[in-house]
Amino acid sequence: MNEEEIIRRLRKHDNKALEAVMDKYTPLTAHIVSHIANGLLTPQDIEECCADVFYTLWMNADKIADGCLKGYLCAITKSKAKDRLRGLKLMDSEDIEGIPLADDHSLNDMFDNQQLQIDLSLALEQLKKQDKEIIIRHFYYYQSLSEIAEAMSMHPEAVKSRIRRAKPKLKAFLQERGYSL
Amino acid sequence: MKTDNIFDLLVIDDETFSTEEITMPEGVSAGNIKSLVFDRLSGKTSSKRRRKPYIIMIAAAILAGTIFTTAAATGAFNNIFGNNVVMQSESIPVITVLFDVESDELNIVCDGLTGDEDNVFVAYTITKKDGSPFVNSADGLSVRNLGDDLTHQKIKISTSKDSKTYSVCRSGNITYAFTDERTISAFAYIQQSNICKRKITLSEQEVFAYRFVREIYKPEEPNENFSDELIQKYTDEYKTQLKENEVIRFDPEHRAVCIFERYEIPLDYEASFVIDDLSERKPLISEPTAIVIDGQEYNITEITCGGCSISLSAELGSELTFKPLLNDIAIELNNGTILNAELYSGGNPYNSSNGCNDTAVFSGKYILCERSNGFRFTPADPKDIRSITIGGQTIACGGE
Repeated sequence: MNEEEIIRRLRKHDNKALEAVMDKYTPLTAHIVSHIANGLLTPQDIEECCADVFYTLWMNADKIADGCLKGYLCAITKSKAKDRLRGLKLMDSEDIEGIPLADDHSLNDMFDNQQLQIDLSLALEQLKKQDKEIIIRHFYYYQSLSEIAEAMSMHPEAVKSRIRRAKPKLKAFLQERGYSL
Repeated sequence: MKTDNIFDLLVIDDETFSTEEITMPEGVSAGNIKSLVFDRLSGKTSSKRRRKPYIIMIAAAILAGTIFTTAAATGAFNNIFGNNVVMQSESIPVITVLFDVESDELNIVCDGLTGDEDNVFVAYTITKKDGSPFVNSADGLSVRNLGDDLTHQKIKISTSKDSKTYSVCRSGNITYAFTDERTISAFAYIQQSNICKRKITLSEQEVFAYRFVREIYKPEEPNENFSDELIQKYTDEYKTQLKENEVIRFDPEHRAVCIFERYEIPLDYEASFVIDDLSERKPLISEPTAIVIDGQEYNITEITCGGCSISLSAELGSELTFKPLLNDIAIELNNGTILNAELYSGGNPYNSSNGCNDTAVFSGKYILCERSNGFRFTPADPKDIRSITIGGQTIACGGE
């Protein structure tokens, strides 16, 4: 089953499609939860969280845009992992990473607001290829500076400084488009 | 699900990671995740997650169908701590604690269990099968609760599911007291994150008995308080005079700081127990119930309890006009206790994140009430639920 077929059958609530999604993406989902949790969650917590992710995907299957299954999964996974940590009071309510928004947004904004997705993607395209990869690895996949440095054959300090330089560029781009940051 | 981080809203079909390269985190099972997902979709407990029955009950303290309250467990705990035990007021909905003991010499019996949203406390006693004492007072050994010496217990709490062993050496986690020469009372504290759907094994290695040697400081004033600093002062002063197995302790019997010989009593056993987390979902109503809330008809087809939540399925009697409602969800127990769903996460099936918008006709399961802390425990034992109140409408529940 290719991804297009999976999405089509997910929208029809086909269990086989869900199973195919889990077979393919469970390691990625668990990997992201594990990284966000950074040792604060037990394996059973991680399993519960991953189950939440696939359940949420199932309940919102009709909203998945073509070609974006992996992206939606990653975004849901991050949200669920943070929710779980907050629920266990293992995480501050304010996220100190990334670029904070002026207002709270719900996960529905990811599903419903295509313009937001376009603008975010365009913002990343403004960066150099290497900087874009660093930003995605750190803020999207939650890799640590040392993991990124090792993967990209860089010094961790170099990774850190590239992030520091890239964030204002992203912020300026998004503010020009009217986002409150 | 709220976020203030813009990257959390980003959806990209990025190829930075090939899914084939990523391995599962240690201890995490893809099969378990799949089972959990299909459990939620079906509202049933899958056969793979059905708990194996535990056998080998050594002693008579099988506790079935009982929710332990603070009062019920006070006796056992007070034997150990006197009246200093402070328990949380909420009882955890656990039933049927089975003790599975493997020991040639010992009986281990669970006396009581209580807890709150974060912790579980298990009280149990240990005796010898042949009835012989742990200490022989004829040898001068005595049973004494000598305070901080209880911190030197080496206890292992192991969970069979992931085969990890947690070494516990603090009195906050497990504590002993000799109640008499033949009985050791023990009290284990376990964080909820370490239990639930797992077998907990307690194995103990060291318990100490004491033989009085001599007093080294006895105050003239009978009411003088013995502070930690005072005891430490004499410990520092006399420690060079101590033999290898001697320790300095305040002895409440002598009302003095004394030197004791300390002897280890080896205990070789493993006691395992499981707390039923009530994960198996059970229906609370036997047939659909029609209610009207603010002019909107609902046919409640199913209310189930289990797996850390109470959830509801409903069909609309007419097309939904979205209204904010159901903020007054309450679950009444048979004993009159009201569980306010506001104390738990979830609670509003009309939240738009559940896939319902202003014009949709919805169906499916919605979580009425879900524990946010200690999330593996269901909010209440299904058979203890008397009614559910939604939007001012009360639905009687028949339990199991």
